[in-house]
Amino acid sequence: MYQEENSYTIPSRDTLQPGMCPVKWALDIAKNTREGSDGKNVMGRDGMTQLTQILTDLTTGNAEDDDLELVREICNVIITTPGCEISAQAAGNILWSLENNTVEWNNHRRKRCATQECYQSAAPAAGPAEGRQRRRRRGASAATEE
Amino acid sequence: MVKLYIDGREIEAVEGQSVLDAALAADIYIPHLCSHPDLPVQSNCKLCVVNVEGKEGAVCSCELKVQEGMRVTTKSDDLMHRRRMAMELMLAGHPHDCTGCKRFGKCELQTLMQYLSVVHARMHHVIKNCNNINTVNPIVSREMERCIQCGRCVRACRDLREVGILQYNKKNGETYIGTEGDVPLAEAGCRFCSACVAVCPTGALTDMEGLFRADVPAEQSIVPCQVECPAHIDIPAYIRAVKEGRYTDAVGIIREKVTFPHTLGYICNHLCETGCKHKALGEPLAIRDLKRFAVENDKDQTWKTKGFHKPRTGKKVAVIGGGPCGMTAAYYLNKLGHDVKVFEKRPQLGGPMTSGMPSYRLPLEAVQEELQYIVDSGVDYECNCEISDVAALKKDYDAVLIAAGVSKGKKLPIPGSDFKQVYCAIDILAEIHAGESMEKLGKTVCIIGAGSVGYDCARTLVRKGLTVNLACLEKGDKILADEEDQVQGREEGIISFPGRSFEAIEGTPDQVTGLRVHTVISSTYDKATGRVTEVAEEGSQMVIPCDSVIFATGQRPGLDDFENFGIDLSRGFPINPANGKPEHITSLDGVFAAGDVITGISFVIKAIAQAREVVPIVDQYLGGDGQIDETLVERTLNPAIGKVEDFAKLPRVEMDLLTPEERLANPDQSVFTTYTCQQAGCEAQRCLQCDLRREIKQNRLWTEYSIK
Repeated sequence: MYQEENSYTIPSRDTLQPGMCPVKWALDIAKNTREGSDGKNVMGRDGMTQLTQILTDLTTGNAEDDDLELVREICNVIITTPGCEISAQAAGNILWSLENNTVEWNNHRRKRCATQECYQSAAPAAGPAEGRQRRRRRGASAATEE
Repeated sequence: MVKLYIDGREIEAVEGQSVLDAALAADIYIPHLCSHPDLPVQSNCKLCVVNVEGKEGAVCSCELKVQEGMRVTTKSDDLMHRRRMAMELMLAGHPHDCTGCKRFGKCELQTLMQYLSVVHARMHHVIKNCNNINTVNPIVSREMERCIQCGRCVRACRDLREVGILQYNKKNGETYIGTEGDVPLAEAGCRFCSACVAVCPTGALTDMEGLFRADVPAEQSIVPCQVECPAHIDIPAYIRAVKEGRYTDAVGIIREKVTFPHTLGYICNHLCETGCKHKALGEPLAIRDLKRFAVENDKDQTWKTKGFHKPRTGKKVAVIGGGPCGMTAAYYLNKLGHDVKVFEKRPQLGGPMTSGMPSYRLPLEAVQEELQYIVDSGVDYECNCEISDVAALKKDYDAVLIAAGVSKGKKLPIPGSDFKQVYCAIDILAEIHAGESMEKLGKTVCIIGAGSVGYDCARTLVRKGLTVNLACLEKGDKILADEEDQVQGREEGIISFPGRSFEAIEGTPDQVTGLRVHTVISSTYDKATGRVTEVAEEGSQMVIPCDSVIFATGQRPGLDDFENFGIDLSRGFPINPANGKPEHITSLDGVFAAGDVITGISFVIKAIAQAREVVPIVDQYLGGDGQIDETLVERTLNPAIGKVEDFAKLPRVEMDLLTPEERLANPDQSVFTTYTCQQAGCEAQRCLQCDLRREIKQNRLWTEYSIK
C-alpha cells in the first residue's frame, strides 16, 4: 500500500509559543511539508501547495473572506484521506492553530498581525507567491493580482 | 471467485482483484485518475475513495482487495466532496483553457471535471515554474503545465518499459515530472516509445503534430511504417525478430503479407522508411536492408509449414501475367482451394523482376527461388503464351484475373521517335536479360527519363561499356529515381542532363546522331490531360550527340493493341463500366484486373498489395469467404524494452557498398553486401517499436459505463 514519504518532521503543537504568530506558524508547517513531500500524493503535493498559497495570502494581506473556511475544509479532507499520514498530521496542526486562535486568524483577513511578523516579511518567504494570482471567483470577470 | 456488494449490487470478482478493478469490470464506474490497467497501483489521486461496511473512513478502492461478502459504497455526499476537493487541488495549477489543449474532447481529466461538476473556481491559482524544463524534443510534445503529476508516465516508463528515465523531481518545493538532472529526453536515454503519451490522461504529453497521418485511424497511424507499407507488413514485429536473432520468424512475419520478401529486400522502394518515426531523431531505420538480411539468414524456414490451405473448390481461375501481382494472386487463390493457371507471354515467369530489373540490383536466383516456391505450392503456368482475347479465355474458366502489367514502352511524340535506333527501355532491359547483344545501340546512348526504369537501363548500359547520357524534364528533388540510384549512377559515369525538354531526335531514319534539347526553367504537368506546360530558357538549345535514343518515359498495358481483348478499355486500361475507372471489376462478368494494369507503372510491393486486394474479391465471386489473412508466427510481445544509452544518437547502419570500380568490374554483382549479424542487430536495435503502444489499454471514460 502506498504511503506518502516526507523528509520533514512535523513540529509538535507546543512549538507555537506565546508571542508567535499562529498563522505564520501554520504557514511554515504547510510550506515545509510541501517541500519535504515526495510529491506523489495529491494531498501532500497539491493540498499543501494550496494551503501554502492561502496562508501566504493571509500573511501578506491578500486574503479573501472565505479563505479561513477554505483552509478548514481542505484540512478536514486531508486529515481523513487514507495514505496521507504526514500531510494529515500537518493539516491537523494547521487546523488546530486556526481553531484555537480564531481571533488572530480573523485579524489576518483584515491585514492585522498582533506579532507584526506578517505583511513586512512574509511575501518573499513563500514559495508559490512568485507570480501569484488571485483565484477567479464564480461570476468574477477576471483574476487580478494585488 | 469472490462475491461482494457494490452499492447494493451483487458482483463477482477474481480473488486478489482490487475493488476498483472489480467494479469497473462489473460496469460500475468509480472515478479514478492515477489508476491505469497496465500500470502498478500508486494510489495518489484519491479520487477512487469508497466506504466499506465495518471500516472507518474512506479507503482507496484501487488498493483495496476484494473480500467475500464485502459491502462497498461508492457514492455518497462525503465521498463526492472528497473527490471534488482532490480534483480542485489538482486543477489549482492546471491551465483553464481546455479548448486550446490538443486533448480537448479526448481528455480524461476534462471528463472527470464534468463527472464531478468541478470547475477552476474556489482554489487559489498556483503558478508552476518548473514545468517546462528541457521539454523540447522532436517526438513527444510536452506541455507540462497541463501535467497533474498522476505519475502514469513515470510508471509506464519505469514499470512497463523498464526504461525509467522519468521521475518525480522537486525544485523550490514544487513537484514536477522530469528526468534525472533535468536533461532532455534524448540525453536521458529515452527510447521514444511514446508509452508515456499513451497513458497520459491530460494534454501534457501528446504526439508531436505531423508525426502521424491524420487520414487513417489512430490505432493504425501510430505505427507509421506499417501504414505506409502498401502491403501493411508488421514491420516492428519482424525488426524485433531480427534483433533477437529469430530470422525465420522475421521471414514468417513478412510472408504473412508478401510473397517475394527476398526480392523486396533488394528492390523495394521502402515507403515504410518514409514513415519511420525515427526520422524525427535522425535517419529512418534501414527496414528494406533488414528484410534482405532476414531472408538470407533464414535457415529453418518454419513458416513453410504454417498458414491456411483450404479444401479444393473445383473452381478454375486463369491469371494473365506472371509478374509480382499475378503470381501473388495465383498463390493465394490456390491456397483458397481454386485451380489456378498463370499465362505469361514472356519465356519465364516474374514479369519485370526477371525481365526488367538488372542483376546488380536484384539477383535472378533470389526471384527464381521465390517464384519456384509459388509454383511448388500448386500453381500451374504456361509461358510464351500471350492472351489476346480474355472473353474467349473466360469460357474455359470460372474467373479470370488480368494482371498483365504494363509491358509496352511509351515514346514521346517528337520528330525522329520512329527512327530505327530509337527504343523503349523496357524492351532493351528484356533483351539484355535474354542475353542479346547491344551492339545496335552504338557507343553512345541517350536515355530520356530518369525514373527507376531509366536508371536501370542507364546503369546496365554503363556496365556494358557504353557512354550513357541521361536526360529528363525534372530536376533536383523532383527527379523520380531514388537518390541512391542517382548518386551511384553518377559515380559509375552516367552523364546527367536534368531539367531538359526534348525537341527532336537528330539524324536520319537509319542513323541517329543526337538528341536536341533545351533547358526548362519551370514546368507543370496536368494530370487530367497529360500535357506538360513549360517555360524554356532562351538560347539553351543544344544537341546531345548519340548513336541511339532510349525512351524511359512510361509504360502502358498494351491491351488495346489486340483487335478485341473482350472487355471495355480506356487508353488501354481495363475499366469498370459503372464508373469508367480502372479498378478490379471489369466489364465482363467473372473477369477481374489488378496491379499495374489498373494503377499504371508502380513498384513490386504495390503490385503485391494489389493482388492481396483483388484475391478476396475473386474468391467471394467464386463462393468463398475472401479471407486470406494468416498468422505464420505467433507474437509474444515483451513490453519491457529497457534503457539503451544514447539511444537517440545511434547511427543508421548502412550495408557496405562496392566502389564504382568494383561495381563496373562485376556488372552482375549486387552493389551492396548484406549485413553481418552484428550489423543487423545494431540496426534493428534502433527501432522505436511503435507497435508496443497498441498493447496499452485505454481507460474507459465514465460515459461508457452502465452504472455511473
